[in-house]
Amino acid sequence: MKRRTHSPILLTSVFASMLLVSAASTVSARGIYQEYSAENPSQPAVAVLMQGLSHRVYPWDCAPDREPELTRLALADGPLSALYPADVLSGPHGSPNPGSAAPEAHEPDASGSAGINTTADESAQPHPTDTEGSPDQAASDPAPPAPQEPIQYQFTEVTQDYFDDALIIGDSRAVGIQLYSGWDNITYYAESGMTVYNMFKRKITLKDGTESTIEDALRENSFGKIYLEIGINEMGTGTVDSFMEAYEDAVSHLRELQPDADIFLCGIMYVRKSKSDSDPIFNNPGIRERNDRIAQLADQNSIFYLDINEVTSDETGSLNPDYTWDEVHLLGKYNVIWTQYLSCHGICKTSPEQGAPQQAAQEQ
Amino acid sequence: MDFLDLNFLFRFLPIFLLIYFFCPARHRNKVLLAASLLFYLFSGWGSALLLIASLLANYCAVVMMAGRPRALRWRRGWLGAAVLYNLGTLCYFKYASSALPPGISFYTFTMLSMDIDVYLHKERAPQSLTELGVYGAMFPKLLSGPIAQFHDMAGQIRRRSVSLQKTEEGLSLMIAGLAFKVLLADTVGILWHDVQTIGFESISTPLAWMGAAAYSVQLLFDFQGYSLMAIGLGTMLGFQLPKNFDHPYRAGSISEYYRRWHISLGHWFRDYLYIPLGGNRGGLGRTCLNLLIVWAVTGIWHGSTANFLLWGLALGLFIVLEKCFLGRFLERHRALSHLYVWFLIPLTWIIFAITDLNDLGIYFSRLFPFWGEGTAVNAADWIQRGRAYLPFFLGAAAVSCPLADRLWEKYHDTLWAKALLLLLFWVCIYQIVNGLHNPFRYLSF
Repeated sequence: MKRRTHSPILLTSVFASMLLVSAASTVSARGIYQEYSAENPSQPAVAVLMQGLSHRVYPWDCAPDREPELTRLALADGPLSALYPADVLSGPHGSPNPGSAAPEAHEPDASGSAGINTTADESAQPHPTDTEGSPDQAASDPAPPAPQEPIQYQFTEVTQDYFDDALIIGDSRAVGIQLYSGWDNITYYAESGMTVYNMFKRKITLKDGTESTIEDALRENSFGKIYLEIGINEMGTGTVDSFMEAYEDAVSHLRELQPDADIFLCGIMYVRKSKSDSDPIFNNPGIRERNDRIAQLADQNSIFYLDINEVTSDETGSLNPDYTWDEVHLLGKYNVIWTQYLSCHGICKTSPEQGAPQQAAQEQ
Repeated sequence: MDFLDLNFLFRFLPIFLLIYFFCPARHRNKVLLAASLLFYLFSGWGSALLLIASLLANYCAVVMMAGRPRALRWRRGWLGAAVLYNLGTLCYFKYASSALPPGISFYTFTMLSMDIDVYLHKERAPQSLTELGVYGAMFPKLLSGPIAQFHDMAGQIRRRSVSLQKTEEGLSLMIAGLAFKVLLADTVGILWHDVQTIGFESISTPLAWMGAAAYSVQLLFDFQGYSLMAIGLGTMLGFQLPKNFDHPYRAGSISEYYRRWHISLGHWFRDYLYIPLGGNRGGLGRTCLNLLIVWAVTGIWHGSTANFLLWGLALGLFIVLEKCFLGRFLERHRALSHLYVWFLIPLTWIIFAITDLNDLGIYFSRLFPFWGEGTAVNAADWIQRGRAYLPFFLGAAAVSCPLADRLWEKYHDTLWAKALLLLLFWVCIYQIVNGLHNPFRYLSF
């Protein structure tokens, strides 16, 4: 049914809706969208409303009901991509060998940041059967058993079959490893845009082609090693403390779901210097701050910290510009750096000659 | 500030339109010039001063030429000075300076059009600095054209009418352009972005072709979207800006493609370079040489790196071949001629897109994988992307087909169409705030 009209209905409705939405946004900016408006002082109020809507926060909500699983700011320059295939690498694979990228086994310093952090350990290891109690627990116990020093393991070089029971959970950077590292014996639960806030609810495609949330997949499958490569997308959300709170919760939950797995926490890979210098959110000082906190969760016994930046940084402490086009992700061919690095950072608990455990020399 | 900036859409434009419509008609040029300078001021003081200097220098040249209409040497001298000034500043900022003032390639060609038209007595000189300022700097076409020629614009600058109906029509075009840019160009552009993020060595051959198609679609809807917005804005203000696109992918030859793509630039080169060089009046050899010169200059106009010259020369070569014999063959085989365009044009856009010649070589080796296998290639990388982007490619094809034109012509004035446009407007605003979008591609030329 065609009804031709020459009255300026479009003009009127666009202007009227702009006025209306602007008014609603201005009012909401002082209430429900207070936090958003502080981030956009130079933008019209409508930007605040649109951001809120994308987080399913509506002007008529009476109290701020922030859903932390939704990232405030998408990683604007790095959409690599929500559209990645889940298939593993099947093409020919060459491995460029960037000179400065030869990874070396990392010797943890017993007194360094990778050492045991008592508080963090408590949150990261909530097993009721865990007898390697913290000093606090020991103090509250009227008849404590003789305290057993946790064994600290050091990294050792491993071969690819070590990763047969390994799982990598992560964001678009982990998708890069999945698609371009050439290793298809690892299981990947990797999705672009994944954050610690939403990771357990994210749907992923399993190897058999079925869809599942990561939570369900972890309940139904067990792994010997779990690598958590996550953290860049969360930088636009909240504070370092709120991020760490969610991160620690995620690690605890992982431990709960996979009590026997070794958990490897991967430090957030830096961004290129030009991005770091110009981006108020996705910058290397912010990444370092978070990495320092993540490293404190490691106990070198069942939770380990890995810092890929050891082999992907340039002399300025940023992502090597040769390794990236979009300043955030590794070029496809450089994802082999990850596999080289992980191969040099295996943990072998059962064969002491390969990776001799060390008693913690650290006094608590 | 550009057309996607919320400050433009929600602050600058509504306030300007209210002032423009309610001020007396005789003051509208002054309001438009002041608003255009304010619009440009957001690009920085340096750029704004350069624009003002350009307006003053060209005003001086045309006033001098108009002052002595019969003194040929005098006029030629002033034209030479104006050309020297315009091309000198353009070349300096384009090829020697690190920062390119926004829109300089476009407003410089606009100014040259005026200088040459006044010199050739095609149009009388602007009567005031305001008239010249509106022609050279009006914000709808300041940053990326269309490059309206002075003889087409002078009459409208002196006398034009605004009406609610024109404003409504202009707004429809503007929203359609916005949707082209935000919903099609920027979405398909993510595929091209991904191809670069993966690195050319590591893409499969199907993905390399999809990347070429994605860049071609992105560029078309990016620039066509911008042009529609500019034309729509112009219509709202009472102007009729020249058409810049006419469905280039319906062409049956490269020559025809470029009669339909960035039409205003093509006309500029035809009128102010090709014809003065002799056009097709000197025999086939001379015509071919003129074509190659025009296309080399077109390439250089787009950028200083060698790939742009290569792009221009490649196009020039095919256009020359079409002039010599290929054109007649293509006319006899219409279906084949479309395949020829659809195959060749994305390849030329890849030359246009990749500024590093080494990278360009790598990309072509992935398009035609006869020399090596790439590095860390994921052979299945195109499958899911193909599924994900197919609807957008189909959408781009749908809005480019003749049926879409007929539907627009027939229904764009109906209530349903207006409701759809209103919805599209708000979807675009939502996407501008929350989605991934790039600046207009042609802002960098």
